[in-house]
Amino acid sequence: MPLLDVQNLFIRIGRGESAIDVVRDISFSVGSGEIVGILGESGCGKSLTAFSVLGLLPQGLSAAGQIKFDGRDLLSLGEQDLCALRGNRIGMIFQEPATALNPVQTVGDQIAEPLRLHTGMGKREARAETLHLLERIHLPNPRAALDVYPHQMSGGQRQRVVIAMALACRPSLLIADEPTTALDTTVQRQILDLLLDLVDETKSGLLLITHDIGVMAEMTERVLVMYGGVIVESGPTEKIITDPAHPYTRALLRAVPQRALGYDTWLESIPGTVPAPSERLRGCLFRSRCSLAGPECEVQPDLIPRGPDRVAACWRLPQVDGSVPA
Amino acid sequence: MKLSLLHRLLSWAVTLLAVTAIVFLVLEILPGDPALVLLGPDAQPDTLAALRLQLGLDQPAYIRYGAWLAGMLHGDLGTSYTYGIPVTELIGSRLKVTIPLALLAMSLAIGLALVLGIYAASRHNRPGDYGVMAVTQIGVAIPSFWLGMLLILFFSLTLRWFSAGGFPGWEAGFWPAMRALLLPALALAVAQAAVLARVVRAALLDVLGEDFVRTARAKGLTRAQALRRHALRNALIPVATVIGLQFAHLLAGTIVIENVFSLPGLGRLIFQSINQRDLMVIKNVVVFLAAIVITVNFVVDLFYLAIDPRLRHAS
Ligand SMILES: Nc1ncnc2c1ncn2[C@@H]1O[C@H](COP(=O)(O)OP(=O)(O)OP(=O)(O)O)[C@@H](O)[C@H]1O
Ligand code: SF4
Ligand SMILES: [Mg+2]
Repeated sequence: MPLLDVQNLFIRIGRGESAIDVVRDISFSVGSGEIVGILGESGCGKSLTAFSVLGLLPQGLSAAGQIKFDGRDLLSLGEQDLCALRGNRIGMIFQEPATALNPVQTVGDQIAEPLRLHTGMGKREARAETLHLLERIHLPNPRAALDVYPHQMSGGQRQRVVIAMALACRPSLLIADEPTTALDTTVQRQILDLLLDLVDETKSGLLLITHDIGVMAEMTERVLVMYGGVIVESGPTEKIITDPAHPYTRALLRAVPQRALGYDTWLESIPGTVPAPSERLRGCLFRSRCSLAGPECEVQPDLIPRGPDRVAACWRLPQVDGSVPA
Repeated sequence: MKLSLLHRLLSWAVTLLAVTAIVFLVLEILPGDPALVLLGPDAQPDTLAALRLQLGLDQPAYIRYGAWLAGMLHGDLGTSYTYGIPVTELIGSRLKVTIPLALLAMSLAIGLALVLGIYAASRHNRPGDYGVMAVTQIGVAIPSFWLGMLLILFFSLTLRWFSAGGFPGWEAGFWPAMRALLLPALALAVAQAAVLARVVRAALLDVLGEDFVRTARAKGLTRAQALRRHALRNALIPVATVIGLQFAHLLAGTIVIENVFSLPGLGRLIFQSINQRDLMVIKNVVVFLAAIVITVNFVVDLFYLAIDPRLRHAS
């Protein structure tokens, strides 16, 4: 049984007739010690997917389907049970280290908070453990860092603090929502290495959200490619990079020069933008930007298997020999 | 930290000096001869002249201004024309009523506002929130003198729980004195509490939308815990600003309320001195009130420094 098993997840804005599905019918799983990536452009629903796992969707949004964590369905869990899981069994790392920390509380207190909340540690014990955590994330001068405020740190240091906070209670699942997007290239490297080390050490599962193909290629074992709230392709990262099936994935990879599968490669290079949830047409959502689009694409294609461990949703997937059907 | 403190202290002194200059200038160009007021319209010219000499009114303006400031530094504010006693003594005795009244009213207002504001924010867009918004809308619109009279009618005349006005003095004991201040403080506090509750609610809702509150929730804090431990302290920054401004309003309100409740405070003193053209009292009381307001704002600045480490570390 996988650690996290998401089946037919829908995320809805509003209620009743006027409700819009921002995320539509996605399924995936993350096992212990496994790193799974969600790749997609801005606005495709990556963050909302992450928040729905924690049960922390913004007001007015609701999730339907099934999110099983350790065999328990999170969507039917009460608020009290969810609070006991958050920060304890499931840790979350956020996109913006600049705003993710409380500006008027010391770094030490902020990291100690989940420890005191979930493990029943006393003040002194939690402080000692916090110091230990700060050493583990390789913060220079960890003892002094305990009493420092977030604004006195650099962006990279703050993100390390956010990571320490997420890891404090040794969660079995980590969710990292674009953990390096807001950081300089050199710092990105260090943070990713730190994440890899920590996940390797703790054997926790990692759901890594990114819009950077370089990060995806380097870090993940399996990947889901999302477009406009749906999964258009998923499978082992290696196979998807060497043999992308969906026209969107292929366009993404074409937009990245092969030798530059580095860290500052962004996806903005496909002409056009992801349609907003309110302006999504019927049929294949990628239609407005797809060079292969034909009349059949006005009907939404389902995810169909391509080999034992891959799926893709397109009417015009290349044959296994690489040719495109007419 | 030291630098910003020094800067704030300096601006406190400069503002106070400006206030004295403005008060002096305004009274200077105001028509009306205090000597004439004191002696009445039938006074002989030579008696008038003698009194002017005694009051120092024959001196040029800048000398009188300088003498006033110098006196202030020595704690000598001159003698009241009408009461014939030192102004410092007069102000001192009145402060014993006004300061406790203002502090009590402000504490009531802050306490009420925090309870209502936090409650409304935690029930955002639900009936509890709408209820608080409706109640505070009414509270904002109630004039304090009218509420004061209503309170007297109900609690003093009908229920007979409080006396209808007057002040027994602190010599009568702490509780009897506080009891005399409670209704006027409440009358002053309600409108301020209503305004402040809305500020607390708005500031909290603002902060509750911030990323770090979501981080707090992701750590496993309940909504209420995240509000108490993370949102509230950040929300206090705008709330403190408004409290500082409200303190000035509150002091102005005491002028009316002390008259409604016949309390021998500073507000009543200034009201009486204006009627009697007691310039010596007026100018000093006005400067004194301004000094209180400026000092409160100074304290608010210190409060910012205490609450927001970003300001402490900015030089
Ligand atoms: N609170 C909200 N209310 C309404 N719509 C929202 C809300 N939050 C997000 N959305 C919409 O849902 C869609 C998906 O948002 P989401 O934040 O998950 O995107 P994302 O893939 O994480 O993008 P990014 O790379 O910019 O972080 C977007 O189109 C966004 O406009
Ligand atoms: S279904 Fe049609 S429009 Fe969509 S990706 Fe495939 S070819 Fe392009
Ligand atoms: Mg996002």
